[in-house]
Amino acid sequence: MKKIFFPILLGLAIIASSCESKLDIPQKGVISYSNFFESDAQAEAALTNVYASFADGVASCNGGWIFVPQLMLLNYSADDVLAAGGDSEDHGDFRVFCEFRYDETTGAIKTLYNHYSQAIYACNFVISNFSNENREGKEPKYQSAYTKQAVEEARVMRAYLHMMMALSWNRPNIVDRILEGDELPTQAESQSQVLKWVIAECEKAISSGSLPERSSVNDKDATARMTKGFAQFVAGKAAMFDNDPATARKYLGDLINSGKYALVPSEDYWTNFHIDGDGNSEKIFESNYIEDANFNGTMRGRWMTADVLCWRTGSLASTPTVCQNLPGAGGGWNGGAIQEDFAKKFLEHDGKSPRRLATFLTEEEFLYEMDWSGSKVNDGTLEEKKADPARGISAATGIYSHGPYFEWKMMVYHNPPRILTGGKEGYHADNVSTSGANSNQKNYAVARYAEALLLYAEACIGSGDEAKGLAALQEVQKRSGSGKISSTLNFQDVMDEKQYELWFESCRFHDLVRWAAQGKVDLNEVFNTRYGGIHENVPTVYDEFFMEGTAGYQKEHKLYETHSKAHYNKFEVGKNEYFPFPLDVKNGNPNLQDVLGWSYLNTAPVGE
Amino acid sequence: MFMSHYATEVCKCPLLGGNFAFAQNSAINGKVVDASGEPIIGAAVVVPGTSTGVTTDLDGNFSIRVASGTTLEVSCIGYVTKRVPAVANMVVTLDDDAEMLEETVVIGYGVQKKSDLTGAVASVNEQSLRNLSTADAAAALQGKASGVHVLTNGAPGEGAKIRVRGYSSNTTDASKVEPLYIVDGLQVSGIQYLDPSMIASIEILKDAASAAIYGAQAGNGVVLVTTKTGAEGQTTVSYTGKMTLQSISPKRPVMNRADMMRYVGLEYGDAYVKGYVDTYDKPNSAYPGGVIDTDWIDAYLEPSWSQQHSVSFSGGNKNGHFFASLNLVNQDGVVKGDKDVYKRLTAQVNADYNIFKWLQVGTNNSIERWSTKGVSQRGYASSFDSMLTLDPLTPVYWKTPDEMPAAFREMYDKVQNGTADAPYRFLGDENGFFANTPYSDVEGNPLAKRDAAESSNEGFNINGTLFANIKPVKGLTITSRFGYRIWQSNQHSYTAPFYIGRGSSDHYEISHNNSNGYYYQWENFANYDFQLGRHNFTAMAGMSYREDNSDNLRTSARGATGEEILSATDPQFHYMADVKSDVPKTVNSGVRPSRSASLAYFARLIWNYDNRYSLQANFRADAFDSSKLSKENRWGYFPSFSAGWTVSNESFFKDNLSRDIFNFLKFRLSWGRNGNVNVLGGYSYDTTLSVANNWYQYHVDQTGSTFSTAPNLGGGLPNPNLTWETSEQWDAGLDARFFNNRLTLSVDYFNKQTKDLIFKIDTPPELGASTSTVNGGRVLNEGWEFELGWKDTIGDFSYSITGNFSTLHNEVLELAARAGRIINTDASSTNYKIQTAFESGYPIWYLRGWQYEGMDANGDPQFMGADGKITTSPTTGDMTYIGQGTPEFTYGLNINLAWKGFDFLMYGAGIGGNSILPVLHRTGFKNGLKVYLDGYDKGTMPHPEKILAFDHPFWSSTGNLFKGDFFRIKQLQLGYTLPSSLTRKASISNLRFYVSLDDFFTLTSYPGLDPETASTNNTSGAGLDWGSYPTMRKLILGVNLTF
Repeated sequence: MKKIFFPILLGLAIIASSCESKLDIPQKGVISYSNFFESDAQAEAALTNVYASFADGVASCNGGWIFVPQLMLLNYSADDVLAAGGDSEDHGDFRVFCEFRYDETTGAIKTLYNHYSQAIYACNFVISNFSNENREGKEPKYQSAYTKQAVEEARVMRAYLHMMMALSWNRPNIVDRILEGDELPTQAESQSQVLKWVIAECEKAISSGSLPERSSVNDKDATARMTKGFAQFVAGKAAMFDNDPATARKYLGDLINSGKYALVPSEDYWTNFHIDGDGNSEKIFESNYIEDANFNGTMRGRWMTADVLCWRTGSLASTPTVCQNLPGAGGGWNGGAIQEDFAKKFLEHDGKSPRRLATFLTEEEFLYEMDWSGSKVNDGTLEEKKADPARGISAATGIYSHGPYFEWKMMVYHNPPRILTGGKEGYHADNVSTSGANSNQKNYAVARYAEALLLYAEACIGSGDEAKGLAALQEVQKRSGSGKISSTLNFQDVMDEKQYELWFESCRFHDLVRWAAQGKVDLNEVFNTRYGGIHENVPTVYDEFFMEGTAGYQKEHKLYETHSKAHYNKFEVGKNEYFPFPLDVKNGNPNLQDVLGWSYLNTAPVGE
Repeated sequence: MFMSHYATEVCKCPLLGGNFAFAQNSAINGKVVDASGEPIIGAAVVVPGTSTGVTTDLDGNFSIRVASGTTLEVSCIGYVTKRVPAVANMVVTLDDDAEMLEETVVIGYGVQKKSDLTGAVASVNEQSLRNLSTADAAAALQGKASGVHVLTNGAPGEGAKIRVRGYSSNTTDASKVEPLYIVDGLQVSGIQYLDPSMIASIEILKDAASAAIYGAQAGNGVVLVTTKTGAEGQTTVSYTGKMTLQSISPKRPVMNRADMMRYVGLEYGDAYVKGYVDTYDKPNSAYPGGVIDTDWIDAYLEPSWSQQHSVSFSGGNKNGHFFASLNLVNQDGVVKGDKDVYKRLTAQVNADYNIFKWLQVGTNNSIERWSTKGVSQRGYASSFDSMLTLDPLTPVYWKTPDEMPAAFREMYDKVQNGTADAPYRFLGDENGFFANTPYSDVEGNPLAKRDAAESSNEGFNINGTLFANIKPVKGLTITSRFGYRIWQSNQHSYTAPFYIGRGSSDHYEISHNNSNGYYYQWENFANYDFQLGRHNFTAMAGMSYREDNSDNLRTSARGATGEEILSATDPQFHYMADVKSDVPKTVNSGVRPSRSASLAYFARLIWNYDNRYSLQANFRADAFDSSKLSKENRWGYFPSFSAGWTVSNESFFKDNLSRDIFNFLKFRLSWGRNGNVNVLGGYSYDTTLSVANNWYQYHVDQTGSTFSTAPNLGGGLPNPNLTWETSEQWDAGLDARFFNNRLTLSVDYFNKQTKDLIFKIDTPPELGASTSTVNGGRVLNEGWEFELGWKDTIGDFSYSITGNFSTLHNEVLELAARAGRIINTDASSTNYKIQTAFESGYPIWYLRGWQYEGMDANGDPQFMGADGKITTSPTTGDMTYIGQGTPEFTYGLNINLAWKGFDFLMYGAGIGGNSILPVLHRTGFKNGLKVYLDGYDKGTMPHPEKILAFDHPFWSSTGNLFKGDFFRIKQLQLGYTLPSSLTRKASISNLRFYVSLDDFFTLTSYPGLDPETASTNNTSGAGLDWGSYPTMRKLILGVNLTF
């Protein structure tokens, strides 16, 4: 009997243990859609995702890159920045943009495209859930003054992102709501269609009355989010790119007339690119980053940008004090050099203006007016400095891509340099912190008032507002400290001023393409023939002090150059004005069509 | 363990053999019995070399007409064949042939006699595992069985990985393609904790039909381990001890001073070298002639001793069995100092008892305490990378700060006078400071890398089962088995600022990670054996519920530059508790408790007719929890079928073939389906919102973050239709034995196709995520497996030779719809362009690079373009298949010799058909493999100047590709057992001493440090040599003592 009992018991146990419900294990740390979109706090959390997506994806190097993709694609594609590195083989990821030899598989293009798209998705997550702009036109579960503000902020961000995509890819998709998994986005018919839509969206946001507004030139917090001023900037810039200066004048004029923005004094120009200028009076929008010890913000702090955008300190006799905490002997990587012919022209125009001094150093300034961490004669005489073995270029291989000009505008300052501070105390290091000496905690600048003024000046050329335009140009010129003031408003002056004022600020390449389309510049001349071809004559600079057999060997620092040809492609007019759509994106969306010289890619098989 | 002593009561010789021819003699009657006196039915009694013979009847009796005194050979499968003179009324006692009879094979929820197997099961027994130097059961399988490839890692405590019949998945995560490990019925995550000396047998279920009983988790094969148990009537206490001297091969793959200066001179010009040398190269009295010529391998590695001790107690009687073992491993690797150690103490207790005739209960338990410390290897800026790339012109030590180059001296002085931004340590030992190179940006002395951070890892595991076997009626065994694992581990690390130039750290940092978890399974199943005439049936059915729980906490603190974070810096304060109250502490926000569960029902039916025909069918239904699959998709069904035909038991075979020549022949055929569920996880079918995973600061001048909420699309767009990978496999095999079982042969052919791989396909990023996870694609693994063995005894001399050889054809047949070639750039942090790719028509993760075509007239390296034209500047589009990191064949060889008290063992393992591409060339004043200089001298490699940049196509081409083939003598062992006449006086039943050379001899053409560990990278990076911990050579002195 006992023997029978046990199998029965076991049989029961089997049934008991077969309870399938034990397999239902809810996911931890997440919530379901159905419990959301019901309060201001939730709207704020969703809006915060918009800014966080932008800060992580567009304004930082998140995604494993050692550089910020937007910064890199746009600036290295310009004619006045050279990818430098150790030699012509180094920093290939940057060089491909310098030399226009990227293609649809280039990782940085994909990263930038994806990060723009994800930031747009974050905007639509707010818009489609807190307004009726969704697939079925469904009314939101909850609405309040705050949710309306959140929707309008997201709308402006979405407009800006679409504009940037239109300037880089010509005909991106217009994504005006959350798309469901079974949908494909719709590609714009033309760049103009996107830009007109951008302007309309900005107008909608401005006229909604829900958008925050900067309270005064001293309102720093308003520079960290979408405001009416930024919407005006985006609408104005989009109009310029749509060849519609009248509309641009309207929005940029409103922005200027608002009185909420002002250029900082000449001597403070340099702070625009360093932490002390965060949120200053001329910032329209910056992605905000301050160190919060509760987060490991390495990526947000633009990891490695300090190394990339510093000179090649391993080739120097000691590390310049400005960046002396870069780890190790390898230190700076020499990521972006100012093109020497442009620097020369800039120097001739600006002389020793605060603007030029904030942008790059001359040979003398580099060798003798700047402090070197290894030097014992930083306060010594010129003679002592000339014979100081702790300064100068010690590497026998010299520094590639450099002439005798040493840019430091975008460098991460560990110690704000005395040449710029004038010896005044109280300035902050660009990196403070637990994120490491190779990161950058300065806010990521998107729009600066100087660009608005110069766009406005350009928009006024030939219109009834020329006087206002000239005033805008002069405002920038006066502030620069160059001493050159235009007496008439003409395109050449605006174009030149913009190049000096906004070097390495991500707008030169787009402007060149725009001006070429308007017949104002010849891109072949700019990229391929000017200065004998930028990449035909890449300088390398050496220091006699360290070069055996030269006159100054171990006596006196003196720089000299050699030139060599970088290889590879040239700018192809009718193709390189825009980037190709990334292959992976086309694999996911076979409808997407490339433009211009890239259109041959449209016939390529998708997938394999 | 349940049923591991499966009693075989009937001789499996056929009951009715044919009648042999009779000679003209009177009949001699006799009886054949086994050791216990039971009659053996169906034993063959023959006159050797003739066709004269009979078989025994149901009572073991026989009658044969031969002259008295004629030698008769009495044989039966499962017993040792015996030759005896014919006498009237003779009684022949046949001894059990331990190797034949005992060869029951564990097959999952039951056992089966090896001779009855219909699937492909590799079985490695206790003898094969004895006296191995490895402390890792997985490593012990290397070279022991066909179709089983073991990937080892040289570093102490790094477990070996097993691959059964190829590589099926496109995952890049090696842990997701591991076979299923079952120890005494308990599912475990690895078998590193088991000392080989505790193991009775390891079975590897290779074909899908065998593995199908484990369903959705068995797609990569199943490894079944049975630990030892006490034997009835034998009480033993035994001790084994090993002292191991570890060292590495004297081979130096990198350049010395003169070679490197020459090489760099060729790259950059002699003026460049001179510039450096003039600046930095100072005479150093620590080197002969004052000329620094550092051998960094010598500087970093040195011979070291390890120990292993094991004591075991075993005993048993009719009512129960007991086995206990205590095992200690103390391994200190070859890196100087004690920063690479593995310590383990394992206790195993196995016991069972027959409470009633119908009820047996038992338990198997193992308790493991382990700790490891490791050094960085196999990666950019790791200590082994430094060891191989650091120039020989840098001394190992600076004896005084005066010897430091300027930049270091500058910082040193700053630290001394308190003006440095952090209290940097300058690392060193009693010989001085660890010198660092002023020549390049290599992150410095490997010894400094070793000492820069302190970290330790330790934990314990308790694994066990409790079981009851109920036998209510004859033939029926109901088993209820509860299995459990409990684990806990702690990882501490502490780093204070240190200065090594590049790679320095300017802050204090401390972390403590704690993880703990428990797993349990409850399995209930019944086996029923019954006979209907000559039909034998075994039926099994059961269920299993498994649940895995883990909970981790990771905390850390990190100071700003130079900021002290601990209340004191002495080692007794290196804990989170000592972090100052105002220093922010981070708790890793991604860590949450996790639980996963699965439920399964399974059944098996085995039918055997007359020991000639066998059929077996398995079925399993598996369901996994909602973290892996949606409710609608959670169930999967895994059937299998196999058949066997023992030809040698057919009368036409027995009648016509002499048993002296051909003893056994069986054909097997099987088909089955398995899954791999490890590739799933993370709720990738479901759309949810993540809370507070990101933040933004709305205030420019003050901290204070606002948290965000966003759709949780980290894993891509949700796909509610996801399911596991599924493999289907055919296997055809034969087993044969010849010459009185002295020659054994086993051949298998398998064809395994895996489908529904997990692919990330591109989706428009506008949808919120740029990828989506889908099932699709097919991978083929196909191959032949051969095992051949010979054993014999000549007087006192006995010997055996066994070898195995397996081929593997691995090919991706198809990718998922809309998926393109998957590219991985595992070496991208070196800037090498080499890729590994997963693409249709090629082996998985093949090496994708350029085809090197020699040099042109200018000496520029040339490559084959995709258009078939030679080019000196190839593009990514010209990259192609250049080799595979996985082997095309593997093999093993075992030789055992014994003469009187001496025994000799040699065993080796090899692989072939794979390639290795070293990613160790660097630009600047850095060392590299000597083969590049030799190649230039021989004219087979370009002038170094032409290939200076590490992203030069040459480095990622066939020009830098080497054969990864190797054959390594894993063990060469000579032992001597003292005569028992001598030892018995000291109540010692067995005393053996041995000396062994393990991993000493390697045949390879690979010019790097070690072809074996070089190619053991992660799954997608196989074939790329990053600088890995080499296999250590081991000289072992050991003793085995049994009372």
